[in-house]
Amino acid sequence: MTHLKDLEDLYLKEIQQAEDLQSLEDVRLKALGKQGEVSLLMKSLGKMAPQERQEKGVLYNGLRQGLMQAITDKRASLEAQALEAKLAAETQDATLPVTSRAKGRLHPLSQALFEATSILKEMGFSVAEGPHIEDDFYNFTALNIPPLHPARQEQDTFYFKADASGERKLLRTQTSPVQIRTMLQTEPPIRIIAPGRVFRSDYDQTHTPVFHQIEGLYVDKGIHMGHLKGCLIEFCRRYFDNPRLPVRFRPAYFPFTEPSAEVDIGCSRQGGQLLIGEGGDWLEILGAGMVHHQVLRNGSIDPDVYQGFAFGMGVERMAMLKYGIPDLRSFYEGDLRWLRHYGFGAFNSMMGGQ
Amino acid sequence: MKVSLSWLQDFLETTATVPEISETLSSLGLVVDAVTNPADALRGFIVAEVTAVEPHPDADSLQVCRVETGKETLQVVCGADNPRPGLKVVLASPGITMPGGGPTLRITKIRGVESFGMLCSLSELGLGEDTQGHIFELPAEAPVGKELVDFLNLDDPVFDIDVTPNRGDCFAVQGIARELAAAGLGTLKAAPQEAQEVRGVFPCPVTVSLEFQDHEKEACPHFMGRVIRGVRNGPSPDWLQNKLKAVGVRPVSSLVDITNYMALSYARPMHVFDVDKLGGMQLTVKPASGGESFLALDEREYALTSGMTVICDQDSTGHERIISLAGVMGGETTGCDDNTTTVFLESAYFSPESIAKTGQSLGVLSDARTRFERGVDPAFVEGGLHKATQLILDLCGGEPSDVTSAGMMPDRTQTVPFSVGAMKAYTGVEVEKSQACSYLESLGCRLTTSHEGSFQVQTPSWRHDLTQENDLIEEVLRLKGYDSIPQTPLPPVSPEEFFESKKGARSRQNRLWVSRRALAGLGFCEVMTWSFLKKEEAVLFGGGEPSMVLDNPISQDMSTMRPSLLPGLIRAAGRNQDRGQAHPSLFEVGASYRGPLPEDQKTGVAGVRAGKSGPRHWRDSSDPVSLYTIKEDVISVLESCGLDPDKAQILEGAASYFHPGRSARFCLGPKICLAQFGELHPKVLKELEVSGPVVGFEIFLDALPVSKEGPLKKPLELSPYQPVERDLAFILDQSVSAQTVIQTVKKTERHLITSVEIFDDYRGQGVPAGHKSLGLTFRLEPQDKTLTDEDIHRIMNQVITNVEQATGGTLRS
Repeated sequence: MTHLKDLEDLYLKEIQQAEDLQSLEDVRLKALGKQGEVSLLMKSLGKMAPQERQEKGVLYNGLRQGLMQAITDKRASLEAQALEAKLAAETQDATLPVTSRAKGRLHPLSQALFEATSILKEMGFSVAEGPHIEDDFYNFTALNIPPLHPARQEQDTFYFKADASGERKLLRTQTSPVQIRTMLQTEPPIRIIAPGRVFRSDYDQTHTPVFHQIEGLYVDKGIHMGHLKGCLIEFCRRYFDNPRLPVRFRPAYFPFTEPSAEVDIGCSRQGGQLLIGEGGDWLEILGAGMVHHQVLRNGSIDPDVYQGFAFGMGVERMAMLKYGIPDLRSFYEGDLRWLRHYGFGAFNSMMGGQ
Repeated sequence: MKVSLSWLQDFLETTATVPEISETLSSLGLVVDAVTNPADALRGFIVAEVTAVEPHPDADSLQVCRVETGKETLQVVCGADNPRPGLKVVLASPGITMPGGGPTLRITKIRGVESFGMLCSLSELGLGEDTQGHIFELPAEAPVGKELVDFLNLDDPVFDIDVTPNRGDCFAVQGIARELAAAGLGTLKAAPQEAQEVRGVFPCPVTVSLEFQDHEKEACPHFMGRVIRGVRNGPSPDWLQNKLKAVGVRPVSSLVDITNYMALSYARPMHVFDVDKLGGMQLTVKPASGGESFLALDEREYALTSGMTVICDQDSTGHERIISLAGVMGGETTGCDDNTTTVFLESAYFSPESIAKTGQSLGVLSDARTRFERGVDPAFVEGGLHKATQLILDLCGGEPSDVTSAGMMPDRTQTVPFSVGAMKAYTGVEVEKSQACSYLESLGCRLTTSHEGSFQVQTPSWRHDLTQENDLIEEVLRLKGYDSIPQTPLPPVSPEEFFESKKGARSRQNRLWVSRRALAGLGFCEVMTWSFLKKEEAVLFGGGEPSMVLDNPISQDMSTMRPSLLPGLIRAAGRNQDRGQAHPSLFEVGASYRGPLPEDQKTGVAGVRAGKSGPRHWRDSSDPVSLYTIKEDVISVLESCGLDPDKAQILEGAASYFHPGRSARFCLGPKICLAQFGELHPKVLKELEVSGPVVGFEIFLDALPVSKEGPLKKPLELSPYQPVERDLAFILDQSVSAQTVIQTVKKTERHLITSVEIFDDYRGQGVPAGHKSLGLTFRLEPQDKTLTDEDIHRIMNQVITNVEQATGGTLRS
């Protein structure tokens, strides 16, 4: 008995003292390997008488089980230690900067276009398009601006040289020709917006020869100026994200609408800072009106049956006001520092700004 | 149009304040751009009297004055030599800021003598030019202690009104007054249309004839005039000069100032000819034949074209001589001066169309043109003549001849229906019939017949813009106020309207946004560049046809429509490099132009990357941007737009502005090119002054097929069998494209081989010159059974055979 106890103590001690997995394995082989001391004891059972075998068998098995358990435990402990040591050796400096992926940006003008068109789409308008290089007819005549009309002079038009047939193409000065093209192509109800580039020969502090407008047109039976007012007040409040934004309509003149209106929003100017929505000042942001009967006729629409409204706004101005961008010309300079500052990330800009 | 308050008050009896007037004008559609008051800068300057003058003890050029202000006597040092005892002067006391952003005065010691203010000169006050550096001498009756602005009547606010082109009648103080009266801000004083007739005392020696063909008669239907003899021309009286100066018109002489006064007060342009300078007494009004030249009052020589309306007399040889560009500008040769004693006063009606044509083609601006072009009141041709005659008689003396006249007054009034029902249907605004009537009448309309809510309206002769019912609706609405328009919600979108709206531009529009977001996600910044560029650059990018060149560009650098978005982007990249941004990645979404027709306008996306693919970094080597960098970008965008790039072929033949060996096109078949990309040609970069390498791409969004797939997806079948990957390497001639190898491998077992990747492209030691080693890995995904070693072996052999046959290469052992 003492012998077995000694044996157990000896091996348990060796197991405890094993410093690594290899020495633990050495101990295991010495005790439990094929020729191991404990294995040999087990083998000796076969030569014993049944009575003895039964007695010894219990003892030897207990010894074997105990050592096996001790080895398993020790192995787990050694493995844990080894892993810990390995991990400790693998430490990385998490403060080391990662590759800073270049931050792409959408142009703030795109963002303004996106926000404005999204709102108008929600209000039932769909997007229509038209060419930039236009005929005199669509840009002027059909919009009730005959050749000698003073309004033509106010829009410094870019012209191309006359072609063989004597026709002189031009760059559209407004998105309004899309009204005519749409009316000629479709039947009422017409509820469209036409965002896009327009061109005027004017380049200074507050004008660029290329800029953007969004045109709106709604023609159907019974559409009146109250609808226009409802539509634009709703639009302005949503766009500037202010449910109480003051909006005012004033009489104005455009050849293609009658009555015509200019739309102002409330603002304040204090210490050179323009704040939208508060204060007693007004800021003009939109032109609008009921589509002139002659313009409807030019679009093959019977003004005795249908009536409607149209509006137009400058997108650069809308962007400048909403995002606080001071200089119009900077929109077209492509300065990366400006774009990174005023631009919008790919997806943080899906709606409503930052 | 500038209007001073005092001038306005000549026509309008009102107690309204300046802000009330401004606000009302704006609410009527006459936007007040600014209100300025010359007095604002001069408040606090007072009339003072010099009581004693002594020389400065320390400076010969200075004098020490004692100045009486009515409250105290001050010592003031002055540099001018005209102060003398008894002189009335303008005193600025300490604390006052000099006009035009000058300094704020303080008590100062000048060369040891204290000065308690400053005696002002005309130029220091901003009121005129000095003579010999003198201080401003006020008349002896000027009351000491009175504010200068009150003494000089300078406290007169000026409204700068933006008159819209349809309102010719508001290019007149009278017209503005009429609007304000209609809006309830006062009452109009005596209607000047009923100007007192001034009878002639001798027959008019000048005769006038209108010589137009029938189709041209419109240009000048009515011309009146008369001679006034014995006039004395010279500076006009102060009241007239001050009126004109207040609105920025330079006084010239009584006769000229009177015509300006008529134009500004009544929108009645007139002209005075010096009769002694006329050739003969027979004037003809007629279209120019073209080719004549004409020296106008602005001392410029104009080359006339046929059809412009002119007024002629005869030269010494009896030939016609042009003396006026009718309704636009008079001639230098027959203008009035201080020696003029006999004048011919012209009052005529010229049509807006003819004046517009002349004015626009010659580029002449004048007050007369502005008014005729927008339409003047034809009924006031005669009244204006009498009114101006009276003014000339009053200011210059003389006696008038009878009136000579040619043609007839055109009737520009119209009869237009109006009903409150139509108004309600069109604007949503309800208005009482009686109120509508009174609004219209206040504007000068006459209501002829009426029943129920509708009536016939005769428009006034000065309102050519009122031609249809909507015009009258606008008038009533203006006066009632746009605030009365209700805020009506839009009708809901009907299902038909909704589905109609989903057609057409929608998927194209979506692609623009998807591309933008994809590129921003890839690190590109979006720019907007001009749609036009230098012609040479357009040519470099395959454009520059004559039909794409602007006739009136802003500059030669912006003369030609862009055939591609790339040149603008490359230039922008270059500008950023110049500003120290070494690795710009930029894109633009927009139109380029291949011709004048709508279908020649192409919508596309283009991008460039320059410099290195990223900053220098411990983790990645930052390689120069390359064909492959940009190819990755193109694939990303195409995928975002819903295209499977594996379905497209990569073909040679990118445009000549790309590097010929480092560029390619994505195509669907040989005809449809979706995109081109690659390194930009060094020649192009040199031309655009950008340092390379620069890579770029163009995606032709219009060419991308619109997906016909509905929302329904194909059923997914997942294979339960183990996929297998195998590697092979081939020695190939360098000219063999990877695409050829990949497609050959795929074709070997279309259903089994689901992907082929290239893991190695090696040239150098171990590979014969002119050859490369291409290592590829392909994946077999069986659908109906597990592949045996035999199957795999057979497929490998087939792949090897096919690749060797297709490329002439060999398996790398």
